[in-house]
Amino acid sequence: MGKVKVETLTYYYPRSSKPALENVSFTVQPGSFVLLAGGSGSGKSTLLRALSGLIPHFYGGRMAGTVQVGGLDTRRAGPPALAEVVGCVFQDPENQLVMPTVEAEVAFGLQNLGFSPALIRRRVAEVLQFFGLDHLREAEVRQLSGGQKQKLALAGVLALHPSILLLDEPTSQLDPVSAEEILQLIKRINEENGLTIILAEQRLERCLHLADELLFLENGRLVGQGPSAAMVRELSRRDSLLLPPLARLFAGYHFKDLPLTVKEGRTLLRAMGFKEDGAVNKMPENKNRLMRPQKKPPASTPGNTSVKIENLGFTYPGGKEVLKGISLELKQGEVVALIGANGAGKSTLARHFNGLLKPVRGRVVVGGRDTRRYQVEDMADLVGYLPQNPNDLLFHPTVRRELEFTLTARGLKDAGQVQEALHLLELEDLAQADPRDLSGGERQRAALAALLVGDPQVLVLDEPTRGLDYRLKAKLGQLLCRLAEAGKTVFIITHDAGFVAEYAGRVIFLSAGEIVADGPKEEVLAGFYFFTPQLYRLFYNFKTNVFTYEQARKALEEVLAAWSGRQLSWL
Amino acid sequence: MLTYLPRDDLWHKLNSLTVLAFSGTIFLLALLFSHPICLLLLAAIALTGLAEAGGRKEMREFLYLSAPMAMAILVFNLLVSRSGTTLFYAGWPFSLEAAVYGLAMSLRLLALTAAFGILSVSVRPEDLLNKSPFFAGRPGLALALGLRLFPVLLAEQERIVLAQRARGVRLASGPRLNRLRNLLAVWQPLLLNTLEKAWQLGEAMQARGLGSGRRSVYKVERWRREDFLALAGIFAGLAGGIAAAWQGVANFNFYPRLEPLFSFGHPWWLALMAAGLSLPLIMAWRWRHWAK
Repeated sequence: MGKVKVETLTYYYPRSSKPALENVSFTVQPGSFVLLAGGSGSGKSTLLRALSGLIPHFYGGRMAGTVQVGGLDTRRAGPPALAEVVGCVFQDPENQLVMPTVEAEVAFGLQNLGFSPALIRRRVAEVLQFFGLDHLREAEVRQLSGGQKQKLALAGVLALHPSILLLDEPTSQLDPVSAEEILQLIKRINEENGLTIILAEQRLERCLHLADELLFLENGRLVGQGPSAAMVRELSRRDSLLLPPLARLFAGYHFKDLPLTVKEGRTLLRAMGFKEDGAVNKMPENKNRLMRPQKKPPASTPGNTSVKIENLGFTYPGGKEVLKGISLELKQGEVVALIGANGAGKSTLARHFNGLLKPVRGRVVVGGRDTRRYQVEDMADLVGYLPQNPNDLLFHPTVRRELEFTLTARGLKDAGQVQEALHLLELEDLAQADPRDLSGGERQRAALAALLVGDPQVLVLDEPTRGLDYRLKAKLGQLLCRLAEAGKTVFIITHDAGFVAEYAGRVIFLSAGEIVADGPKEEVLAGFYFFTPQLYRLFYNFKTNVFTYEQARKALEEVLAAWSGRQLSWL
Repeated sequence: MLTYLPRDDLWHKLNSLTVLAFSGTIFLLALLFSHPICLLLLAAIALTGLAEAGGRKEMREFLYLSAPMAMAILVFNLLVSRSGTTLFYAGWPFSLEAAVYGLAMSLRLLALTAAFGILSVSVRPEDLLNKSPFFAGRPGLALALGLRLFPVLLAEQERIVLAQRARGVRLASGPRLNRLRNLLAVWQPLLLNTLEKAWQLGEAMQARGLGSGRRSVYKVERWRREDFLALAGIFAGLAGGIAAAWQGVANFNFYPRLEPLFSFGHPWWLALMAAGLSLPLIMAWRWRHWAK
């Protein structure tokens, strides 16, 4: 039932002359867990739409070749027949939940297929119990967290008892804890129920080890299929920036088996002669200091003070106290990452930078202006705020017009700033393109350019790496570092430990509205056990101060140098 | 304020028709009654019901809105009515009858609005509309979708406003023409985001078999033992209230001189009404304190 067979599939979206998929052929055996990888715009979502029958039934367009799922030809079988065989879960749970309450949402698909009330009741009860949502049966969907919403989306699909489950980056909008929970559930469904899983994902480090097989797409073409480890080696030859840091690190050398998890990587390091020394990574002089709230920023930060926050307290009108006595200073030229769990107060803090929220206690001074005395619009020349969804800013027909609008809104004339911003963000070729037609990474750059054209001193970015592949993340990180070098203060709210390790200079950890750690990234990250980059965990207790890819590469090469001339293939 | 709030109490567990019956009974009797004591009794029951169903916060907000309106009725009637004969002070046109009539009308307003408030905070509109055969199919689905997405769109709009204001777009200050033009910076992204969302939602709905044919009906709402007990009380209260109005017990002559306030002919009808309508309140109170 769960077999997928695709033969010479080529597909063009309506009014498009470029194929979104070209001559794609592969077979997935029933019960397999397949990871569908590829950069942004490589055709992953399109392929999943073709497997679910949404292409051609929902999208139209031109399609050649055949797609068979669970023995059904998607072109001939209609949506009702396919809905019982193939289940689809999409990126954003908000855009796939239909009904106002949890129970009604799970029942939705079953009602569509005309199941009897007794059967619906039984299926709903079973699925809610499996996903641990039973206590939320009567809850309103809008009151669920992002993770619960995605679980509900999964529950609604699995209530139909499909034999194939298609997931299009189901964790891209979730925080790391919720993402991990969803992936573990998917793995459990695969192992315990034998469902065929096809998971499209950008952040491979989360799921590479879960999959039996990896399919890799590039520009709409399938360029490889095989076991994960073998495919990782193959991909490293094509473009190592497509791989997660750990796999990328080892892929450059001739190891017999490539590690896919930190555990496997550490085993390999031990075999190479790395010695575990518990003292190496401990930093006693910092440890106690870091665990206490920091009143002052580290002395070594560069430049003049651009943001000064003194004893900031904030309580929402409902009475919930979100920020409790926050004091910090940000300097020009700093890249600062703000980390912390959902609900810790990160976005609330960031919204004080430009006066979107006014302090209930204390004060926030940016570029010499006390935000209590200025309107948000008056702070825009000092603070650029990039929201999580760049679409919230973009509405003009071209990228250039979008940038010009920022100047117009502030009553400024273009004295070459637009061209300068386009150049800085490498958008010159896309200046006349519609921002809504751009890829995720390009849209984000366009939104950033629309802020930078006003030359703000401080840039606040809310979860800028969501939905970006490794290559786009690297580009964004390098760009932010360049902006910091040019004297801007860059303040990033993120859950992405790898990104923090690579590009931030300073890390602030917020918990329950209080700063519990603030300092250079090496100190703060070294004090953590869970919120650490993959490469730090790889070298933990083997070698100190390994946070970035370059540091890890050097550490590995030091040992490999000792083996120079000898055969390493036994590893 | 006074929008549906999911709460873990009996009032929210009752079937929407039970709550409708309770609110409807209060509403009807408030229109039938004119006796100040009867209206006071009814308003007290309605406000207690609202406090049980909506909690302290909703109650406070309700009173914040309705108390000034009730006060305005009282004052207005005192100022304009000239039919009363018992003047507060000789030579002044303000009479006791006008004050009592104003008070009775204020109590009626409180009872009517509280009855609506109870329904509003404890019943999902789609639960009620699903009871109608017309709304059970596609119209019901469209309505459910609207109810689900309306708060999402409001949140989206708020987010876009914040993002554009942070960009320097003036939406609330500056010349009117500029403000109107700047509103496009909110409406256009909102429209575009909504269209993208609608497309994705359509995709997700088709992937789950929408359009396969006739949808089956699955009623999420249940009838509990408590519903039948509450309905018994509500119908007893309704019968008592109608009988009281029929017998003239709940009627009152304000002008030209107030009739005695406590001269009820058949008070047991009122007692039946009060006891019957209090039953769901007692059940809810008991459930909150013990049954949980």
